Amino acid sequence: MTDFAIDIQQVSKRFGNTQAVKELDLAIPKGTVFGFLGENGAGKTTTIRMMVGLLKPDQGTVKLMGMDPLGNDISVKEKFGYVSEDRGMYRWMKVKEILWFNKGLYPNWDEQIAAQLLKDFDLDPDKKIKTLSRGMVAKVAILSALACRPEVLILDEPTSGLDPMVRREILEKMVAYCADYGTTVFFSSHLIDDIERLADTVGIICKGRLVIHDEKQKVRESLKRVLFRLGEKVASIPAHPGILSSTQKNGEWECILKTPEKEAFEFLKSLNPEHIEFSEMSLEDVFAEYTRFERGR
Amino acid sequence: MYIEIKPDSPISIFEQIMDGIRVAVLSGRLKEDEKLPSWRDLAVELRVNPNTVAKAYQELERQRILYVKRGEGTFVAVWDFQARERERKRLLHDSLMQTILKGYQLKFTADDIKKELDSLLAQFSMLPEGEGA
Repeated sequence: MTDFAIDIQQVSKRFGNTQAVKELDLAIPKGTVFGFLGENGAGKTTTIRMMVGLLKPDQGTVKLMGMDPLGNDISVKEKFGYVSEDRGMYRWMKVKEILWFNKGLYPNWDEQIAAQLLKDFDLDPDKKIKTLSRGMVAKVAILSALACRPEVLILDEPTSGLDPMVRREILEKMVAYCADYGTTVFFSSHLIDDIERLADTVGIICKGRLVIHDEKQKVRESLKRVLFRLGEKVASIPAHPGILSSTQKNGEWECILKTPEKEAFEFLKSLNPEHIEFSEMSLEDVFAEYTRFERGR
Repeated sequence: MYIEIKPDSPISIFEQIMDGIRVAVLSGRLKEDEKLPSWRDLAVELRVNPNTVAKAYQELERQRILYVKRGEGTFVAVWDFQARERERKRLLHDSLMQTILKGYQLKFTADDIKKELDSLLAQFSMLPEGEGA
């Protein structure tokens, strides 16, 4: 048995002239929560669709609980619960019909979880999907995914576009389910707050390439921001392998250093700055710096 | 059990939970031998990764701030006086250290900082003078 719930190796996918995902390696240990960060169009959804078997990679392999999501063995479909970005559902169906429909598809369907969530989410089973609010649709989607009792939960932007109350309720249910069943969770988001709260490990994808994947705190500490002033006017900071980027605003330089930052920091000090200090970076800052850097490449 | 969680703070959520419980214990908000919520329930309440809460509980248990009774749950440990004092002082040190660093960053001298602290303390007449709470 493999220790990885999800194991992606050297996966690439191209749409026409666009390289959506390039040589992506990503292994998620069982029982952990992975947060997938990337701006719109970075390749998050394409990666997820290959994981759940909706898209075939041009190259590379994807394994979900050791199985090929595109293989002939359909039991792989029982292993994961998937909520797509558009939360695709038959809009003419009533809530109870959607649940009945899913129950037929998933042998592990848990009637108790479904009933409990229906109640906690305050969903009316007799309403049609097309009459529901955005938040209610999101709740039906998450309910359906959890009631399948998945070993892996794959969520594409589960909380984006939702009001704070719905978001809170959905996060609570995700946390409770993970705690109760030790599920592996793979969720993509551009809401950094959710990633901070839930993820054990974080991956950042830019232009189809995974630029970093590590424990959340290590990702956050992977870059350091240094602020300094130089006595004499200089047009640019000389290149150094430890410096990701440097910008100047109102005479103050801001350099982003890669950790370990010691060497690059010594290098900056050798430029005789008048004043030099580190400033804290949030996960959001780190994400923005990687994205900006990759865009400029 | 409410603990303030700031997801965008440079302090990790793991440490925020540890500090939150530690301060609650040392301030007496949580009483000795009081039962804590299960890590599962606290994770749901705070909407954070349950593994993180479980790890914080484990670490606090290792530090003998909490103890586990098999099948019953996690409780606040009974501290001897010295250990409690040591821990209270450590928390105060940590927090003053932050202030001092900020002061130096703003180019204040040790004397400036001392004077400012004294004047602030004088304003706080409600603090019990010269006795440990």
